[in-house]
Amino acid sequence: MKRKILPVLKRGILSAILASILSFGLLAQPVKVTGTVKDAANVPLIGVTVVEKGTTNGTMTDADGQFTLTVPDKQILQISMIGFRTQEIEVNGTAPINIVLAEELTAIDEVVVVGYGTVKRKDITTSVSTVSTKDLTERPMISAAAAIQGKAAGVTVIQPNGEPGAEMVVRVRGNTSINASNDPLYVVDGVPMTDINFLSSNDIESIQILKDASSAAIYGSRASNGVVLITTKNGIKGKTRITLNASLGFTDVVKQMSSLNVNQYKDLMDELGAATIPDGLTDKTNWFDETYRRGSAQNYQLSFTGASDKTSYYVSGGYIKEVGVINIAYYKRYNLRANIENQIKDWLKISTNVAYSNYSNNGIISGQGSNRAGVILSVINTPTYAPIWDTDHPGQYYNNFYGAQVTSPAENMSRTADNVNANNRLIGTFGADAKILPSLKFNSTISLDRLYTHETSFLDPIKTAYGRSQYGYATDNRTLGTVIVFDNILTFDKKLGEHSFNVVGGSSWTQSHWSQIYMGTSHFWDGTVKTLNAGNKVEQYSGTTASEWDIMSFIGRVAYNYQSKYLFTANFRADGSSKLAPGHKWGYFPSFSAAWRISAEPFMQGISSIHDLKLRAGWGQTGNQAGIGDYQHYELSDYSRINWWETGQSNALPTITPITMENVDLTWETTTTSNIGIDLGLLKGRIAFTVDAYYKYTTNLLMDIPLPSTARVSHLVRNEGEMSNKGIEFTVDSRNIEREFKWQTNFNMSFNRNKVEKFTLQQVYYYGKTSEATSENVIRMTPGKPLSQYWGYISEGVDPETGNLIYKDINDDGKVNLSDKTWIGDPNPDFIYGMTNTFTYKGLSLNIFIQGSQGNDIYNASRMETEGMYDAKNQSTRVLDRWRRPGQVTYMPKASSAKDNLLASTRFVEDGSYLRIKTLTLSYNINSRLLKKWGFTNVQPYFTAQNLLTFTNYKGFDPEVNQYGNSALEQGIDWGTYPQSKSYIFGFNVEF
Amino acid sequence: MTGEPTRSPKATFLALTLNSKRNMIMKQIFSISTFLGIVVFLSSCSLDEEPISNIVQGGSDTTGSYKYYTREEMLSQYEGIYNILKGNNGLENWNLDMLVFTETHADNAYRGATDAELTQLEQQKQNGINKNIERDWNGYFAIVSAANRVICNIDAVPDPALTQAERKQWKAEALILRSMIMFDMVRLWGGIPLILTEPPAITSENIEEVYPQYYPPRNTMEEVYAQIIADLNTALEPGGAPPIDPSDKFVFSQTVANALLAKVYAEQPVRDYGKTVEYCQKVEADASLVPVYADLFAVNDAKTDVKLRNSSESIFEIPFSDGGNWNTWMFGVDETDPNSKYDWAKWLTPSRDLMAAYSSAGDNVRKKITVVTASVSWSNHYPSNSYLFMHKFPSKYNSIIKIRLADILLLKAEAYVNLGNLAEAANAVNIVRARVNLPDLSSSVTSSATSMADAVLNERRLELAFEGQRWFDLVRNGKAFDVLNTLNSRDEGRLPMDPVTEFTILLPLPQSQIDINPNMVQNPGY
Repeated sequence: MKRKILPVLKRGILSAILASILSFGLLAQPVKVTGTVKDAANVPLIGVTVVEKGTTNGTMTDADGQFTLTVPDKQILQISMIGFRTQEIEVNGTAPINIVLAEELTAIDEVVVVGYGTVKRKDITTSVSTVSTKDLTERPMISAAAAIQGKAAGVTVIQPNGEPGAEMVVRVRGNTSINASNDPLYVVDGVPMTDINFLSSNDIESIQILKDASSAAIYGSRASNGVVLITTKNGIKGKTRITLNASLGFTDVVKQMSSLNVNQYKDLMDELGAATIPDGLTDKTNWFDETYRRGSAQNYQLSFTGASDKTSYYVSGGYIKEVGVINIAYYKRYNLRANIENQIKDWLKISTNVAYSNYSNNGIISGQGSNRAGVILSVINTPTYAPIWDTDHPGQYYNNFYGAQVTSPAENMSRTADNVNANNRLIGTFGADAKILPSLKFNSTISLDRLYTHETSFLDPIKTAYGRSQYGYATDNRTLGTVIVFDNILTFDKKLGEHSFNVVGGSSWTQSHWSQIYMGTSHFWDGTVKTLNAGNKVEQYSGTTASEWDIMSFIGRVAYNYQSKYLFTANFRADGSSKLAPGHKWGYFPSFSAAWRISAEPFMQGISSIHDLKLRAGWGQTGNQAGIGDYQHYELSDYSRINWWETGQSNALPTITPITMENVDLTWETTTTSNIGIDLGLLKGRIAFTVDAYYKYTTNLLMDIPLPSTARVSHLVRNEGEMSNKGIEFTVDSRNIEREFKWQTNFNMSFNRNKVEKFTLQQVYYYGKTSEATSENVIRMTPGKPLSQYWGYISEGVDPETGNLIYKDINDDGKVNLSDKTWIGDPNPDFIYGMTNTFTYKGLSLNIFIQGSQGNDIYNASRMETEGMYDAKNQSTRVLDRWRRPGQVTYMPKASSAKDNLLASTRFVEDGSYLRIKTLTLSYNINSRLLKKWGFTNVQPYFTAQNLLTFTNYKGFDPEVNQYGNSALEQGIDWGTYPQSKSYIFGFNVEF
Repeated sequence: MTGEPTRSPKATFLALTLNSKRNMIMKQIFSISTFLGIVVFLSSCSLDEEPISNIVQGGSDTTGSYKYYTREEMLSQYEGIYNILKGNNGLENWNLDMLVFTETHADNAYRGATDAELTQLEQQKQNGINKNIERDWNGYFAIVSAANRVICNIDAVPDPALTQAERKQWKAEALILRSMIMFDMVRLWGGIPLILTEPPAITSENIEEVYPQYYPPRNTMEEVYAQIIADLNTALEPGGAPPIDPSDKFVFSQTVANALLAKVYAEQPVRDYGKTVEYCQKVEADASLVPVYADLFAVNDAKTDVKLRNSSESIFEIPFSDGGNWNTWMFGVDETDPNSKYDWAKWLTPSRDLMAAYSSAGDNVRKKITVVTASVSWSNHYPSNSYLFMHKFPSKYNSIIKIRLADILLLKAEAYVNLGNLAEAANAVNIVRARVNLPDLSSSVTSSATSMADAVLNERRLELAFEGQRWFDLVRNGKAFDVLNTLNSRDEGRLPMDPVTEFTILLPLPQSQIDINPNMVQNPGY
């Protein structure tokens, strides 16, 4: 008794002294108040802060949204929660208080993650887009990048082909680089990395995209293409949860193209003379049905999250599997994550994030003509009279096509059916946050990023003709990459009256080691054993290599804030890279930005309709060194092996041949960006409007220059050119209807104009070689024009007299030759847009996401193979319209082995503009007392349709496809590319 | 009563403040030690990384140009000039594509397959974006670069283990290779840029100066030929190229240099047939005809290898004792492989005009060796039950015989005709005819210079069909226009051809190279 009383007494005395000081002048009696806090949908809100205004006397709402607090009567209670507008209510005796909190749309108090720190949204001076992650659990996706598509102005995300697990291509404000990478830098929980294939979208808490240099410059030399900051979930106090997300979906290919039947095909062959097809053949196989099937996608994610006073945790695990619409293609991934934070001392917090992901897939041969086993084109190019298997040689695919150079899709798929690409990624971070002084914090983080890839392939020695000619062939390539990042950051926050300063300084060290082993063997008995030990001949190219690179960085930032009205930020980063030449290893990347929150000015207080008006401006420099080889500045030589089994060569040593030229001047690409933006909030936050205009100028563009073949090495990597990108982006967020029925819209639109400004050594480059019918380059790059422009003849239609295309004689010299080629198309869109509409009524929610692109051209190289009529391949039914006799007026030229009608021309340039209903999600929050009694806090079944409808004039499979997806130089080329598919997914999210 | 020791408020207060002071000290110790640890760690990091899997040559301590330090490094480059010919540059660019230029582009063969590159060449419609022309231009210059790595650097190798004798000899062999390639290039394209040195690496300081060395203009045909002759003469100096080795014809020997000089003097714009005869005679001393023509190309009886490698008639050949000659698959069937069959329309389908030439000459021996018939499932050029294929590479073990004695004998005959010595010309031709059981040339032929010239030309055609000679023979003898512009009327299987003019007698330069190098000018007519 005594033991208990004394401490209590002491505490009591102290607090009484405190309380009496604090409550000086207040003579009201304390009352015990209870209440409930709910949101506008009548769902109880958990974890809402209820505090006596001006004091630390407070509590949080529990699982039912209820709270109990002892407060002096007539005091003001402040009810607040992130994402909602704070409310205040006066205590009125013991009367229960029921509050409905309204959502904060712009959430200007929302905390936004910026590099090496966080800022309140209202204090941001730069161009940062936040991607809403609310609906991520209802849109199962393989790639976390899909979460960004159409949600942020100025950010394009395309899926260049429909293969399961295909990497998405993300571009922030256009392409700034030619040979170096154009991918943004991804920073996941503070760890910079170049790909996020391992990340499960269920684990994502928030996504911010740093678009302009003044925000991205803090990441200096890797940030030219923008930075995508991803934060994964962690436990929230009061919200202990077990969550299960499961979904199952079906996918179908969207479009089918039909090919000629055997009679039409024989007709064409007789006309063309390319092959002698005997009479009496019948249609035996529908190759479309043999190749495509209904695909499926499954996704299961389980997570545990919770927090106590000192510790918070988030543990999750999941499995996703997608089976593609083309037989043999699949993708599967297992992912595990544990995020733990512990306030081990009151001045020291430690945290650790460990993520492990194991993902593998199998692909098909695409981007090739059917003479090289491209699957997509061979579906049309294989004649229908052929059975799948050769009746004379069981176990072998049929391949007597009377001289046609084609192999059936069944055979082509079999060539990669046994291939597997497997990846294991482990990312572990360990960090310590020490509060040295109330205003000075020190953070030290070390992270390990380890990626192991294992690619195997096996070509059966019997089934396919190619396999028979090689006697079977197997390869095994393994790579192991380890990246270690060690960050040390000091943060200093000081508030002097109305002026607040935030100063950040520190260093970062990144070290990467990468090694690979590659081997191949051939000459197998059969396909029983697929590992390399069963092949007799070890390929001469087998070997191992390794490489390393390091980056040393120093970071600094000063942010000044006066009343959240006048804001100024300056960033500075110095980066040194081992890849660059001595004397040029260091790059310096400064940036400045300022903002003026006009709506906080006294003269604006009268205008109640304008709730937020901020003007932002910034300037900065960022760098890019991705895409430079690890030892690019050296004069490197490689080894080529001599065949030691030849006479006299039994003790031969490898030949040493030079492969690159030394470059003592090799340095970073630098992009200088200027950005102005306006944020406008109207009608008490119901409408939020953002406009940004930017100008990016890139100098020292890294280019891989092919030297004339007279030079002693074939190419040179050099800082060669300059490029500009300028554009405007708009975002509108509005809460149109806010009653029991809600309707919210998010709309964004971006315009970007890209132009190559200058080259030094070589002025003209050609890219985009597709069909081997002509092996012509269709893309030409030269200063004064944007990237990836199509170059060819202008086709003026079919001549009714000859059946050949008439190409325009541009220089009027009477001949049609190379000097009559001109610019014929531009794959860069005039603008892109995305719109999300969300309708909610009680627990029912409908979310429609539309995305589109306008003014982009596509070079449909696939049509060269499906309509070319130049050899014995089967063609699409469009060729039934071909020219056959003089005087016939038609759009399809005649069948001719001369290939004059297949030259690069406007015949194959099509308008690729499209509007697509990308996702449509219908979900229902089951709000049943029964379920709540059993402990379920949320049960939400949903249905999602993806790629539901596409409106386009494009004749090919899909206007979003791009065979060379990740290349800035070769865009918009459809060349036997795996098409996208439509999916219907059923799932449910359960929380308890 | 047990319990925790209690304290007075003062003690508590002291304890609290001491605690927070301890906390403070702990914090400071933690932060300072971490900070120091980081400073120590960072100062030991360096940004200099050396490649792990590649060799670094040169470096910033040299003038930036390529340097070899040891005999082994130079030996690797010396062996490289031979190894490069057994790879794609030799097989694809210097044999397969060369044969298309000399046989399909002339009157000996049809395109075979329907590829645009071949079709263009058969129809005399070739242009600058012809894929084969582009890859060959690049491939030939790659061979020139390989030779230059020896020629330009061997004298500067500091290693004394590399003897003076070796330096002179290896350089001579590289010079012969370079001359051989340049000779083929100047015949195909006309004037080419002469690449005789290796310019230093491009830096921001020297870019103005080295730019013309990296982006060279074309030299004239005369300059190129002059360089070839100078190089071959250097190679023939004492201590230079080695004498011929009867057991290994894959060596750039003196005989090879002599053979090349013979050809050059007969082909360059200003000819010297006297020198041609002189050099032909030097070559004759080092080789002798193989008695049976078939043995030059045939597979042995066991069908495991070729019958003859490094034959007495061969002057320079690229051997494939490992079975690496995949060109056989481009032309027909591999007789050493029982599974090999005619599975696609091959290249270089023999033309009706060539078959007619064999028939009217009564030449069955060479016809049978050069061309075979087979039954296949396509009928692009001939009826499918008797489709023709060229047969001079019947297996993957066959060597590519670049120069052989019969070629030199007939070249000598051609030179004699041009010098007016018809009798000697006839003697040389008759030796070649006798080997294939053909009678000597009749007196009506040997009496006039024009008919003798035609006879030599025809003999060359029948003897050396599909060996990379026909087009050059026609051009050199001034017969290209007459023969080719009337070909469509003689050969019904030939695709319609554009007329060959003085402008289209040379191939176009690849458009991609002209785009890269604005100092190079395209041939007129393209």
